[in-house]
Amino acid sequence: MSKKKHNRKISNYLIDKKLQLRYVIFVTTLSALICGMLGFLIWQQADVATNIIREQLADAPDMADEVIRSLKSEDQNLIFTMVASGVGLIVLLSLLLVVMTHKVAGPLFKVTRYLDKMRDGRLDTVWPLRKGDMLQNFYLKFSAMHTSVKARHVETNETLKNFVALAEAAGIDASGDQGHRLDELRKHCEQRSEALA
Amino acid sequence: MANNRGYKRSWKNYLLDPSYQLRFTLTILAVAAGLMAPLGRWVSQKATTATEVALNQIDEIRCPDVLSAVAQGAQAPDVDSDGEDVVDLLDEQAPAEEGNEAPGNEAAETESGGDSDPITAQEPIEGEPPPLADEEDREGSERRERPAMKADLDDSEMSIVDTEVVVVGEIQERPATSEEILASKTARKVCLADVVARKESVEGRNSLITIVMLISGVVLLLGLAVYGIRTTHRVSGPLFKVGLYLKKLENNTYDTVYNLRKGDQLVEFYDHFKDAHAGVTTMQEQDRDRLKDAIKLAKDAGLADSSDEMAESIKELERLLKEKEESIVQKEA
Repeated sequence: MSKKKHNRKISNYLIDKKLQLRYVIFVTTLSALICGMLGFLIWQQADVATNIIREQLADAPDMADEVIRSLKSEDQNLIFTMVASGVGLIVLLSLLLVVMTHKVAGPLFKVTRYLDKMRDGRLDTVWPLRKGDMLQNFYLKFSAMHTSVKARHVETNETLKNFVALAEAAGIDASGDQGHRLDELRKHCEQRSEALA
Repeated sequence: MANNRGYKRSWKNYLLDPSYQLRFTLTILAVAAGLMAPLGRWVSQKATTATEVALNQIDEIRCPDVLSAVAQGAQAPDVDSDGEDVVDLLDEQAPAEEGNEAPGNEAAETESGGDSDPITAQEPIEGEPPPLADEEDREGSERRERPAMKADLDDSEMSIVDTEVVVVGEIQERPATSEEILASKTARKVCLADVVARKESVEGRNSLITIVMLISGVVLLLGLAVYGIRTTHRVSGPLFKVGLYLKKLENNTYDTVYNLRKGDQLVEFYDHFKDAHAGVTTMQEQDRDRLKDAIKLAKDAGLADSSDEMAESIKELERLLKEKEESIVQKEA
């Protein structure tokens, strides 16, 4: 079982959108709520300080304008920094979650493709997962099952092919009913060989 | 084949695939903690700075002083260095009552609740005419006549000189009344209480930020941990179930595939698995049928006696048929 190399692509990172986005949305919402709450509290604290300074500057109106402008600017910068930090945290967490869930969705996607082939009666080679993929234990189980089922079908097919060859060697009449039944067996073996290739 | 057997979730079974579930959850937790720690530190720094600024500004607040019974503009008269007499223009009773105490002391006594009404002389304002001794006080003071001074100087060695009245001050404001002093005291108390309340509020907010930050961190990490385990369980659950069927298939048992539990994820994946299971079961059934056909053909054609190899081949076919039938029997039972 050699290894076919598949590189990860950004466009393929959302393989199972429902599975992946469900977790991402939960974490994003939780982080946004926490960041928003903390940000509001810090802003409130800064606003209290600004208001106290503003009150004290009421006696010096000539200075007040400049100082208040400066304080407003500082408060706005604080808000921008907080929003940027919060958004940065959420984006980083979301990206990480997309990558993490991709490492789950990836193997599932791969297994799904093998399952679809099995549904159609095809048991071809199972390739190992990529490095870093999750669900390795599950994939090993799937791979073991696939190998075992395939081995049994190969064995059955080989036995049937051997029988057909021996029957042909024994001189069964190809034009009669027995010949027709032997022909059916031969076709089955050919189809199976193709499916197990 | 698509029956639903009701298996209930159990907490002890939540870690169905520990390597996957813990790896996934712990990675998320580690990254979240790594991102939250510097953010929390920054939040704490900002909160501390804002708190310090607010507290400093609160410290700058000056509460109004309590009014003094002594008029604000009044000052103690200067005593001439040459020993010239200083004439108290207004109150001749005060020294009699209070002795020779300084006006400042009187003020202190008044502040402590005395009802006396001392008035201190003040230096005249430059350019203004000195007030007359019997001049009426500006605001409501009782007009009092200055008693005539009479001295018998017959035996005195002192030369009699016409004493000139030196004006040393004037009253600019009337002293505060006791009601006003009380009101100013109340105002100061209110102001000081307001300052203390503001400080407590700012410090309280700072503590609240710290508490909320710690709680948020714990909630985020716990939330991620619980939701992570729960989510991975909802993935691991179906995969665990599929894993059991995979093991059965590996051991050549084509069992009935039941539906997932309510709330499980990977429903589509499970549908794919059920279709695949049906597909390999069909393959198994086809193989079984072909084996039967082959054995029947061998019997009909009398091939068993044609050669030892054929006899061996038929035996092998029969063994395989038995295996196939046993593997599918359970499904049909």
